[in-house]
Amino acid sequence: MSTEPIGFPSQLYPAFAPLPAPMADHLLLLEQRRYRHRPARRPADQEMAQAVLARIDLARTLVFEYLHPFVTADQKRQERGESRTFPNVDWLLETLVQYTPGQGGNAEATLDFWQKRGLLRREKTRGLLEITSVAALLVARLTEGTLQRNWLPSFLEEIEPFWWCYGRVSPESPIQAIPVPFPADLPSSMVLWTPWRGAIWDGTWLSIRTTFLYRWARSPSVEDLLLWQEEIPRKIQAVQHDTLFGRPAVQSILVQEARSDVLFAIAQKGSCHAESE
Amino acid sequence: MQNQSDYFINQELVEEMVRLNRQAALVTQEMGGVLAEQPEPAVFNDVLDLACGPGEWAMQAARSFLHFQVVGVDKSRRMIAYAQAQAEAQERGVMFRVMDITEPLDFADGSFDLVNGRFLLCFLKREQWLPLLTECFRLLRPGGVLRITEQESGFANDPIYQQYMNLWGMAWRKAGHAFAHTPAYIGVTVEMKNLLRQAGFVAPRHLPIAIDLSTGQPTHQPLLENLVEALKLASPFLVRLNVTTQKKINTLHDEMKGLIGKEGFSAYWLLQTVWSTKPGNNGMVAAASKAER
Repeated sequence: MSTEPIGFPSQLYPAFAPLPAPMADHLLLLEQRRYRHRPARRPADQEMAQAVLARIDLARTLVFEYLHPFVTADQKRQERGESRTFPNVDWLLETLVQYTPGQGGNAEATLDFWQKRGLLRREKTRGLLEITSVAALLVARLTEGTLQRNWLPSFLEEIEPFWWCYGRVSPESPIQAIPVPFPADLPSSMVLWTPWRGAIWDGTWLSIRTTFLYRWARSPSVEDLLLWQEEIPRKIQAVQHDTLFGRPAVQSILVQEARSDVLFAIAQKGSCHAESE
Repeated sequence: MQNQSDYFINQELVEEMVRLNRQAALVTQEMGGVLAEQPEPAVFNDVLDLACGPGEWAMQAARSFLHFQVVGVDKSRRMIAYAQAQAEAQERGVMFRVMDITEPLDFADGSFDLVNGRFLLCFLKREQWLPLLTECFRLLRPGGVLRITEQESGFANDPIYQQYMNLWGMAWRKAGHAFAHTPAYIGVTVEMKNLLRQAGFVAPRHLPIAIDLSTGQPTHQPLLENLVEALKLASPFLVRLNVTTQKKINTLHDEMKGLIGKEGFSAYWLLQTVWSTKPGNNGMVAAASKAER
């Protein structure tokens, strides 16, 4: 039985969104450490990875259900022209203190320290804590609910992606792990999906009550859409030379609607995510 | 929900806030709605929800009866913040305030037509019931209704589930919450009408509710998962009471998880709603008694 530290393979990175890969690897490392003094009882690596993934999944669901009303209420306040206030430092500290045995708590200095180490991000414009990094922190905290210290990795590299999602460029192409923020050169026919329900907060992902949320990597053309579905893009092609429907402004609206419709159909059919479940 | 010192779980954990929210939604649904037993719920206007937790009942009441002015109170500031966020997110005009229901509440006499409380047993000791019911009497207008829903143990065809219920029976008894002289049941529902009469209420009525947790029922998995989670979260309370050990809790936790989807598993969780009226007449009593006839 191997006692070497293991990490998640890169193709699994999207499975633990919104955690950055080193955070998930650290949780896996903590799981391995539980068996440090009883190596004979250490489960197989894959079994351990599955157990950690299952705990992350559970924690991720709870964190989303908890954060969603706060984020939605904050967005509604912003729509009314009021200032956004969530998530703020006090709220996060109060949430984390519940998990600190002995109630010692994390001081604001700890949050600053985490920020310097890349473990927590702030929005550049308002200085508020960035919600996905807060969610990742809480998912890690709930997944490893007992340790007072060292439940996070020591730092994240500046170039480390915030989190990962799945992507594929056509129904037959292989599934890839795509970093977030997205690289600029993603193919325009690429469909992205994630099990992280909080992705809905940035307004670019489609949620239709399936396990995953979907979006296009960029703005797909009619030809790109044809890779995924024939019917709707063909209808647009058919009216390309029509005096009314062929006008650029009308075509642009038709293509925009088609992008939504095709994405909706992909999400509903589950043609992407079947293999990633 | 009340604070950690008198509540059986640290209710400010994310897990507990979400668990309570899910449980409340399931229970409301299984009870047939927020006021299923009330003959004419539309006669109420000002409604108070005691120890409202994440505010599910209060918001559901506001959604079901658009003219209701609902206020939810809870001792936990963080729970109230969560409830308030949910109300804002769902654009429900429900007001939530931080108040401890074991103390006099900051409302004028006769402020409400209906006061609701559910699962107060979790933090109320036997001797705290009568002062609370007396306070509710003060807060209600003549003809107003107090409505309390509480739980008892349950029945099951599986020894593991029975062990789970017995554990809670012992815990509530030892913590001074249960009225029964045996851990086989809790007894709060048996005592409720007496308590209401002592507080000055009249004509108490009751409606028993049996939630079917059996395999194949829609509530089976979500509610059983919820009860399993409650066991995990309540382990410090149960160990502190010395009714079990952490090791036994861990074993029972795993065994309870094993009941989810188990073929032939059958169980009922027993609840009872008791409601009663403050004497006097503001029009509501007449409507209620007419419906009763």
